[in-house]
Amino acid sequence: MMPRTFLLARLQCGSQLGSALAVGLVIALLMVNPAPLLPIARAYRELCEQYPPLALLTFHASPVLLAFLLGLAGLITFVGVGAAVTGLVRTHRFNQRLRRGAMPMPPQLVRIGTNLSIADQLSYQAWAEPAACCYGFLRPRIAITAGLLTQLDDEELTAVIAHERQHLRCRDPLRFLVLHTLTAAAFMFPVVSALQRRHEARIELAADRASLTVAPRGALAGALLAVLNGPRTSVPGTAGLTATESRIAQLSGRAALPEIPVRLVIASLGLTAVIALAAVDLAASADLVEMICEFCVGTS
Amino acid sequence: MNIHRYNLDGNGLTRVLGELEARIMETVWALGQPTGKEICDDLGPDAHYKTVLTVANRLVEKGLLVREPTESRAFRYRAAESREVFLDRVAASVANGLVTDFGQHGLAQFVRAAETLDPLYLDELERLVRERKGTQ
Repeated sequence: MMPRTFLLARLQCGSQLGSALAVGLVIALLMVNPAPLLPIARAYRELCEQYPPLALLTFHASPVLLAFLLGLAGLITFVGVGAAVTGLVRTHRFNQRLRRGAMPMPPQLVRIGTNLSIADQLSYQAWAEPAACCYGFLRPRIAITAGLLTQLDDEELTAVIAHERQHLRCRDPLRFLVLHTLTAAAFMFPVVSALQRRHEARIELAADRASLTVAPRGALAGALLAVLNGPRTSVPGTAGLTATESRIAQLSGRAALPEIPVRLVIASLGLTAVIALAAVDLAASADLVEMICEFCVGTS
Repeated sequence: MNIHRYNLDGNGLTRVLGELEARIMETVWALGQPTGKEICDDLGPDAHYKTVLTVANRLVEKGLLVREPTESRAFRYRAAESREVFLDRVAASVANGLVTDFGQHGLAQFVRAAETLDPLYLDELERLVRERKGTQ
């Protein structure tokens, strides 16, 4: 299992760089042969004829440059919206499942919920796996499973619920969805996924700090251990710290956020440079402008 | 066997297997290398011999059981992997499946199911827990 997981982690890292490389390659090909941009330029021109203010706005830019930028923006929007929709649908299905599966709460949970003044937003699920999550975008709730209740003592349970309460107060499910959408939209920049991991870890660390105001450090550690104990794929040192590793570091009194690998930063800067160069090249290329004019004249 | 189906409302093995399939697997793990008849006897009076054999053969097709002929014409069944190994694999696959199916992005989980963890950090966590137990 281990070598396969290791390989997967490597592949994942490779695919991050791969998307940057692929987009860079497509841009380079467009520089050599901009023909695929022509239909976009033409469509934009037609749009400008219908809405003259649009033409005024982009009066100075060359049509090919506009087509290039429009294509790029279109790709980003398409992927971002797609990711948001699939994320929403999947999570909505899961949320509904949790809503339907809610069981009457055992007295222990009611007591701890009341202490943390959050009892009415708790939902008890009769699952054997120890798990807790905050779900729901507009009116978030906290799900606690039966497996968790049997494994944790009162203090540990307080630590978990206080952690989730912080997620609930900050509407973190919604924040995670937005973060996921933005990351997906900017898929071509490898550094973005590293930034996402770092931001997620920051959100988790904030929830842990909130939990530590009402529960001792050892209780939160015990709860984490209970949930982590079980089959778990461990690949040391492949992708920097995970959010859980950052949390353990924080519990030990160290500050450690997932780092951002230099190679991802370099690859992202490289791609930005390629896009900028392409834009400058397209803007300055008189040949291309001529070509577009011929194309437009020829087809209109 | 790859896990294609996961029943949230089931318990234990019935989350990934049919009810009779789960009972047969438990019996085979308990008895070691039983024949079809022995499995049927162990399951109690409500189990029908033919049904048990059909389901056991389905488990053979799924790769969970291995069937071996005996000197008498009956077959002996044994599990392809130990209970622990199977459950580990199911749990890992289920945890990853839950996240993939439902999208981890609209959930704030106490612990992300699909997250990898350096064992050194687990040791550190255990030390923190021991400290607490020591002070209690």
